[in-house]
Amino acid sequence: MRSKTDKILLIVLLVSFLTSLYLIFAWAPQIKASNTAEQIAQKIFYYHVPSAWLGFLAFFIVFLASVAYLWKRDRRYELISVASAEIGVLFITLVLVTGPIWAKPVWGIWWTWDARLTSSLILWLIYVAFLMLRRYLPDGSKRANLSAVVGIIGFVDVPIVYYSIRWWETQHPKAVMASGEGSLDGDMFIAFMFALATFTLLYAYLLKKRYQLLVLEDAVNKQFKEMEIL
Amino acid sequence: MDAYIYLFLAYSIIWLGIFGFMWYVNKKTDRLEQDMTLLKEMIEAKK
Repeated sequence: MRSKTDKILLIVLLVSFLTSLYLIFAWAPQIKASNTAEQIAQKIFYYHVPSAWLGFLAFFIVFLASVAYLWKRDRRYELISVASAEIGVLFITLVLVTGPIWAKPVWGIWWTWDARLTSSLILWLIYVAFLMLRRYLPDGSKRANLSAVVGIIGFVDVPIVYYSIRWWETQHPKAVMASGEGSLDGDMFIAFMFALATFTLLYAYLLKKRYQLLVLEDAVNKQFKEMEIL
Repeated sequence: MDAYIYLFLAYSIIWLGIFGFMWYVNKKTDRLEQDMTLLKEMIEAKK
């Protein structure tokens, strides 16, 4: 069931990931830090931040698709929201795992209950709840409505996570991208942007595959039901 | 030296997560293909 486009996209993805690894480890210089551990651990940033941004994008798509579903009552929007929520949970899981791995050599602790970390964990829990809701409720309009509502309300946490480092005193580093508070060295910026583009491509590929699969599953299940009735 | 272990751990987990998700999607595709075969057989039998 893998089309030619999928194969090309997979090859492009593989080449992009290999190039991004080269850019991160061979091209981008190390940051100026007080200790070597911090300099080495900073390399985690190149995949940690794009994972977070793509997680936010995935949940934004869930939000849009949920609004569109409640408005148009079109099953396709419901399936897009499910596909995007699954991928969003994957990316935020990567954020929640790689964050503490960076924190241990730099802060000396794995985790602290500061605003950024706690709100990120809450975000993850909201969308895990979204997926659990879909798994345990029977298929139908009640499930679709409830999950659309969770998809809309859950998105409220995304800006809270994003602005938490500005609104509250947190141990989490301040934003170096999309803010005037810091900036990246030219080569670091290239490596970061390339990683971000690669993750965006990965998101697009996974969303397409997962959505197509959900549509097919839906069609097969419908056929099975019709066969049982006959 | 320890920092390299953390770096290796972080990148390994990221790759594990990405490939794990792709494996999950492929597994679902395989199951769907089985379902489609079964469906075709059921349609043939009804005929």
